[in-house]
Amino acid sequence: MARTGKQTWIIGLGEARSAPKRDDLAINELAWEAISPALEDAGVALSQITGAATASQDFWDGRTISSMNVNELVGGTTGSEAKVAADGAQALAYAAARIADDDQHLNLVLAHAKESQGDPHAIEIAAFDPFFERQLDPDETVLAGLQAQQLYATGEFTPQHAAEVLAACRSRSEVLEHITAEQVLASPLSASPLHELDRAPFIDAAAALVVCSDSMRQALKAGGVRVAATSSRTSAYWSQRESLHEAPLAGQAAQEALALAGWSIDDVDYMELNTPYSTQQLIVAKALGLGGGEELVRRLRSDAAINPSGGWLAGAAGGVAGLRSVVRMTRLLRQRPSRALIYSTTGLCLQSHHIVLLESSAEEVSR
Amino acid sequence: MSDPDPRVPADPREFNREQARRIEQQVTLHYRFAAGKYASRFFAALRDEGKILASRDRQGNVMMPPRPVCGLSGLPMDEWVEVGPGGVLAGCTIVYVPFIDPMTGVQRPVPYGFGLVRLDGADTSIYHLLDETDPQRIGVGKRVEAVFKPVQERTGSLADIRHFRLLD
Amino acid sequence: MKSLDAVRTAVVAVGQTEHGRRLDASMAELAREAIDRALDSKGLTLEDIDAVVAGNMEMFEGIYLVDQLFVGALGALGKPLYKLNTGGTVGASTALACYHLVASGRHERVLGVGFQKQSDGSTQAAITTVGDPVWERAVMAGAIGNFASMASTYIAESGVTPEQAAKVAVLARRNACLNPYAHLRMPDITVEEVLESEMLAYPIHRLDMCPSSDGAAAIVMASEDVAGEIADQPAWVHAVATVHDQQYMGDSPKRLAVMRSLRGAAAKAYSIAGIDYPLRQLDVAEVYEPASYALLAMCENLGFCAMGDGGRLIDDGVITMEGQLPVNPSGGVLATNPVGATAMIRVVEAASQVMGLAGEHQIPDVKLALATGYGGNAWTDIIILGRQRPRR
Repeated sequence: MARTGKQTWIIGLGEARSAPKRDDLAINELAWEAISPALEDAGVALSQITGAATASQDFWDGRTISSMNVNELVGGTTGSEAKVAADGAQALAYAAARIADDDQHLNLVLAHAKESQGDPHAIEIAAFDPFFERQLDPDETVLAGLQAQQLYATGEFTPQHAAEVLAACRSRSEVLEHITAEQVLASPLSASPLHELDRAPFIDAAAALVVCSDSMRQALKAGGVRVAATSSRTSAYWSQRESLHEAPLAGQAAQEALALAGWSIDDVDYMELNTPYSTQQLIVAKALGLGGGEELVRRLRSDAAINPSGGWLAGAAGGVAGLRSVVRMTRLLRQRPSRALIYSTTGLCLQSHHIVLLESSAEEVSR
Repeated sequence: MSDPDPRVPADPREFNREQARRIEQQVTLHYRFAAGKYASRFFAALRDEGKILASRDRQGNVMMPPRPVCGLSGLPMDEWVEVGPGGVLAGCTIVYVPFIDPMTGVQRPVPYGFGLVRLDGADTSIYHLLDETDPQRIGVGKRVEAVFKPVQERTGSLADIRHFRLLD
Repeated sequence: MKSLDAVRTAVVAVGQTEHGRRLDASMAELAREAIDRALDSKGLTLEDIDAVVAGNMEMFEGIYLVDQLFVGALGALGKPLYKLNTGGTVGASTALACYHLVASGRHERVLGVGFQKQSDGSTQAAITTVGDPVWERAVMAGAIGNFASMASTYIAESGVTPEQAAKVAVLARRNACLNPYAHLRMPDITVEEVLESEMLAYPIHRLDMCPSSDGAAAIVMASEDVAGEIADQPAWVHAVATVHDQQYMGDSPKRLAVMRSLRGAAAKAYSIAGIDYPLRQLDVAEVYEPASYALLAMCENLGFCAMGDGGRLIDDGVITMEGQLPVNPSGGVLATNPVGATAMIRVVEAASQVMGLAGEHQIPDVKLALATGYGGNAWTDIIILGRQRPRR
């Protein structure tokens, strides 16, 4: 059994004003719009930051070594930056590892993406097998359609259910217009049985955290929300999976994180499920053991503790969604002693699953 | 089952590079990069006024290209200062290998001069083309000056500076 | 990192492919070849691995989310999979990520693999996109123009000569003859041949530059609780350091002469490992040198000699196989360069030297070895490996 080293605390939060198109700002300027408030929130200057873990994708940034767009803004000059090409939740896990082994003490965690700048179809097709699949001109929505077809074929869920869950997420969005389940179902089919509105729109976004070790937190006299555990699991590539409508490894990742934290799923007060398609909400929620059928749909639709910020479907970018949720949940956790679970995903058709568990204490809340 | 190509053995352990197949594919990616507030101002001044603007923080660090934050001080850069058009070569070379210009997709004629220019008044340098192809005439520390394209040819790009000219 | 909280960590297994133009294997097959060699060398299976870190520059072959596509070949099914793409450093960043995931106590055994198949894609197109799209691409001259300009700065500072650089190019390709995995093995190469090879960008000749290769390299890092069970002689991690510089290519003053990030990383790593005299205390170094001139500049900045004395290191034979501090007995990047794997090869070679597995290019009695990664914009990774378990 792995030992746990020093713990990681979140002491600063920031988010850029996300929108489908932020063409007023360059990538580094958008990132700074998230970093600057995070530093202010933590009460530290950029010059105090010793390093960073960032998340971005070369294909979306249109640049080899996409972190070169931001390294100066995250304390990278004569400091130390680490970059993952996955969701920002994994960057947080990497930062936590470097804090646990005493390599780093005061770090920024940043995720950024400007999805308006690239050509989604061209980028997505590059994620497919070049020998066997690209000739078919596929994209992510085609797969999500296959996945939805399998899901509905079980008879447990209907397009109406997915649309209702999506509408609930959108009702919590401050970026995208609120829509009804009827509007979702009335939108054109994209890959049957999916409708165009079943997919989260492309967004320009950035989210940032200031994180630190416990000793640094005390030195700074900061409060903080603790990263109780992180975990991730990677499934087979989509064409090697028989059942696209199930995500057993999402459940495994959550179970491992809960075990590391010593919690059960019932101890979690808030939960955010970040998925780019409405149908995937149902798949992930089921995998995490939140129930099934009509009862699960009712819960996802009406439980204010699930997707309080609406998650990815309410307006986030790929790779930023998980970290955005960490920002949003930390805000909630600062209000009362509580616990949160954040799920996010990377890859086609729910391939990689990332879990972050957060906890706040009475001491933090009283600040 | 009949073997589709008898030269490629069924047993992968007997496979060798002479039998290897390659599949041609073009991956084309198109982007619309938002230049942002710093570059938009910079390129407008370059195109319309022939001025080279850098950003300065309150410690006096002058960064070229201009940017939101100074990496050295960690401070925001909210002041503009004009730098150049003269400067000093901090590094230089004559390039002889053909290079596809990423902006035009056209091969740049060789040889051409290429250098790192520390513009007067700036603390950092920018790469640009030099109007010299003789390796004996270029050198670190030599003075250069920006040569602008005529106003009507400028588009708001670093290429509005045609090249840097050696002064000595 | 020298703290009671860090779990002492070691490289316990290494593997690499034969590098070069590998038309016989797909990129996934190359990655798996290196992984299998690492695992098989110590009787490990994927069952033993808790997490996988993959390093690759995906613009080179045009495969987005390459880690997800190759998840099976990478041995990461059902496991945590970290994908890094940090440029030239990526292989070393991958090794360092493995270290942090073990040293933090999060995992016991982590597999790291760097891989690239440059013959599949367009190296020039990929390198062009390293430049900032708004500020740098309009006036780029590719990696070679960039290195040549940096070399001019170094020459102005140090007075190093084309002959001295050519000697570096010769040493690398001759050392490579003792390394069965190396790409460019040229037993008969001479200084004259380097100086007469095509001038790519003044003062860089074709033979002053690294090649483009296909290949992969892998390591397994393990915690002190299990390292001894896996390897009789693990290569213990004594220090790691990652240091950056500013954001744009022209930001660092005298970039190749005074390598701010390399100096910073070396200072940090030496301090952690208790190294005061690197030339005497290190037994071998695997340095990420993309061009001949760069090796000398890097040796200066790593403190192997006084600043400006790089030329003497090669003239006096200090860094040859028989010298006081052999540098790149493997042949280095000048002999082998599959980008995503290149810095991982440095780590694999340094670990092999400590573990006594380097074969014909083994340096006798290696107690302490250093490996570097360099890339991005003046981005440096350093790892120091040793035969003894580090003291607390």
